[in-house]
Amino acid sequence: MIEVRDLRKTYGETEAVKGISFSVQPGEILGLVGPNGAGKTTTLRCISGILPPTAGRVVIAGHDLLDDPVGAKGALAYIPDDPRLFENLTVFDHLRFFGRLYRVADAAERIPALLREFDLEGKEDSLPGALSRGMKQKLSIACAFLHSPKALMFDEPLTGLDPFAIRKAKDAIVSRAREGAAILVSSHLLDLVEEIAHRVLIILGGLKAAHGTVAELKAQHPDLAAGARLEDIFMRVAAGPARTSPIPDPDVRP
Amino acid sequence: MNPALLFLIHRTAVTAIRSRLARLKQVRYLVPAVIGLAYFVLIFGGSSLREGRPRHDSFSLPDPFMEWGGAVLILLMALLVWILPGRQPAIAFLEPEVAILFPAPLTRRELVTYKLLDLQKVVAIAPLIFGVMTWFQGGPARAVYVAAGVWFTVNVLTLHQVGARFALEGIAGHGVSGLRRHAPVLLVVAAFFAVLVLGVPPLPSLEDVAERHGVARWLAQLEHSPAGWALYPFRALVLLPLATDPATFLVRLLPVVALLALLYAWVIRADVAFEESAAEFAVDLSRRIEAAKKGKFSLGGAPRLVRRSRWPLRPVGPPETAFAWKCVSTSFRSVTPSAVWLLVAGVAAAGIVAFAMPGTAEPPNRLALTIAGVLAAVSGILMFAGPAVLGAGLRQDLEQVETLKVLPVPGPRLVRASLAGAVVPIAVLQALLIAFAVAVAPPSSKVNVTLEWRLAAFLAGALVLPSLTALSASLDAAGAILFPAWIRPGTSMGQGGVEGMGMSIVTLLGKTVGMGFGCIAPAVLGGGTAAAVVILAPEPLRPAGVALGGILAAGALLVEVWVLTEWLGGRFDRLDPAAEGMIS
Repeated sequence: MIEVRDLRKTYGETEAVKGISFSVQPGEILGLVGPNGAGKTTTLRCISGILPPTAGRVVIAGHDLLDDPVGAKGALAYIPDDPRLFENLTVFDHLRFFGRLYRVADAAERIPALLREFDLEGKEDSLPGALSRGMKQKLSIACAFLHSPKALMFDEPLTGLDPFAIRKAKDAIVSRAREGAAILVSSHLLDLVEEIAHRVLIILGGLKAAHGTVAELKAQHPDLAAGARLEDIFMRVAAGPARTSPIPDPDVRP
Repeated sequence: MNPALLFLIHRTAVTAIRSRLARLKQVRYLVPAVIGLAYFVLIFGGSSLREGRPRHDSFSLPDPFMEWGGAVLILLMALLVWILPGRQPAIAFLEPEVAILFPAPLTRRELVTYKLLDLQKVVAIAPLIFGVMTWFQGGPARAVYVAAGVWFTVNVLTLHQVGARFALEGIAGHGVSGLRRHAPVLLVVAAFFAVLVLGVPPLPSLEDVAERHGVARWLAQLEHSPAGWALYPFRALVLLPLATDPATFLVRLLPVVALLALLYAWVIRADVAFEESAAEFAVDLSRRIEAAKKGKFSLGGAPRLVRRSRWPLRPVGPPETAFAWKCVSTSFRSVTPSAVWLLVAGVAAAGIVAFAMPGTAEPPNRLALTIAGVLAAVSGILMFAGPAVLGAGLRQDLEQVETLKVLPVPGPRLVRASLAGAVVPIAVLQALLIAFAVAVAPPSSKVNVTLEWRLAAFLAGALVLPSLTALSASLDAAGAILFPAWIRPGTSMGQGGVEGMGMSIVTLLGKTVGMGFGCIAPAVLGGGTAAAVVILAPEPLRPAGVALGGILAAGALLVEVWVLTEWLGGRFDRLDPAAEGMIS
């Protein structure tokens, strides 16, 4: 599972994340939504270990990111919004590299299946420069799935994908959750979040503004129409008064 | 070392080399590679090749001057890292490394060791160049000592740089800032200098300095003084590549290896959080690499906030004016304060060198002549290299060829509008430089420099130089439109290396020849008119003749530019970007 407690991140004078707490249980998909500059990517980068948090605690599959970074990172996969790949490694090299990096003993058996799953067969010897953005994104996801991580984080996972790939990516995310992975999906595509996420976390200005299932969030706004969707809820939450302090978190034990 | 990271380094190197070799099958890479290689061999091995054999005998043996001078130079380089650490983090990561390796189960030590190994591809450049140079000049055995010695020296300096930056980041991370941040370092530096100053033997007299042996005697005393001992690590780095036999090399290697081990331990044990600065720098580095691939070089730093353009763009008028407006605004914005300071520093340095050279004029005329000459020279250089330095012009815009092709503007007008972006800012600068040059030019014994002469020279210069700049930019555009497969739009061969060097030589030669041909008619027309008036007309009319010559030459140049851009515009309209490989 992913457990985040009182996460804070400051850049110079700017406090990008102001004390966010939440958890994602095994088998659960949590949708992270918020306007541009709300602190979503910073939150993901802190949880993934790319940026050191200014304060707070992050635990991945029982490993504290600060005390046991290697253990925590070994259980995690992070797929950034823009696929970053090594320009001189081929598709196959990338998968071999990730296999070695995450000590996947049966990588040789898993790689063909992933190549098939993400339509990368026939592209094994291509360099990233020869791939379309969508193909790069598929390779990035395939690399992330190789070590069967217990925690997965996606930042805008569907950007640049064609309709077939979107369907596949959504199915892949849901199937990984069914297999027991804790999944955090950050996206501006509210329909996607509503479709696949079990719960939704809305952050505004670095603070948690709302957290719960879509039904729970809808219940907090009884004036919304019966058929209101996540988009309506988000608009209502975003239009509300700006928060200056974190809201209490029901699922993080003190 | 983590095997996955070794795999990454190995595969990256193998693929990069294979890609480089594979693309040599294409003529557009092969020809520049051959030219670049030939240039490299001629530059570094020219003299020995001309004589038909390596010049073993001419290679001077190491002497105390080289040893101590080199040591002081290395000391200064090491000090600069502490005094002027810059914005760059201790270890620079690329964006894929940040995105993939930072969240991976790797220890900080593994990441640092990986980057130190990865740095070897940069570290290897200096030993390679010095080795090749020595091979030509001193034979293969010396080349091996020099290459290996320089490799150790560069690695020591690199490790020191990483360690120093780690230390400074560590101090900064603990809340010490400004002067306090540097206080511990400054104390160590001060102590080191105290040993140097107090421990140095009495300086030799002027008579001793005049005599070479006197300085050598003093250096011998310095070697056995506390100052000499303090400088020993730096001398050891100089002595290693100067070894002439295996035994000497091995003896000199021991202290250097010890130093390397100490520095490695210092770097590896540094408990400094480098992730944040590295992640931030990776974004900046990526932006600069992309910009460099587009032929726009930046000294770094976050993207600047720019002021709104000062030139209003009216909503009605010829559509190409909008494109010209965009180009001119972009060009002016690309002139950063650091670029201006760099230009000023370059001009000042050129002025100092020119002033120091022997000449006939006496101060203050000599100073005025130097200033005028340097300003005029800079103005001329801007004409040739300005468009490329500014990163403006059609070559850069062609990267957006799909956008350009759908604009409702005929090709010739589009080409001319694009040229405006390169020419207008340079023309403004040239006019200012010429005005200053003409204003400070001293009187001459041959020409009575009256106000009329100065005005005529300004008018001619301020008209001819921008017209030449327009021709220069047109030739750049011609290269991009006529040979898009050779001169990739927006890039200077993209990958650099030997091919990049060869392509630059080809481009430079082509442009020089083009400029030469383009100048014939204007020179005959303008120069001929000016010469005729100066020779035949009475004194009061002569300045007017120079001005008239300038006007005619500039007019002829602009006619040429017009004809050339008209033709290039037609070629642009017929250009098939897909067939030329500009889009996929």
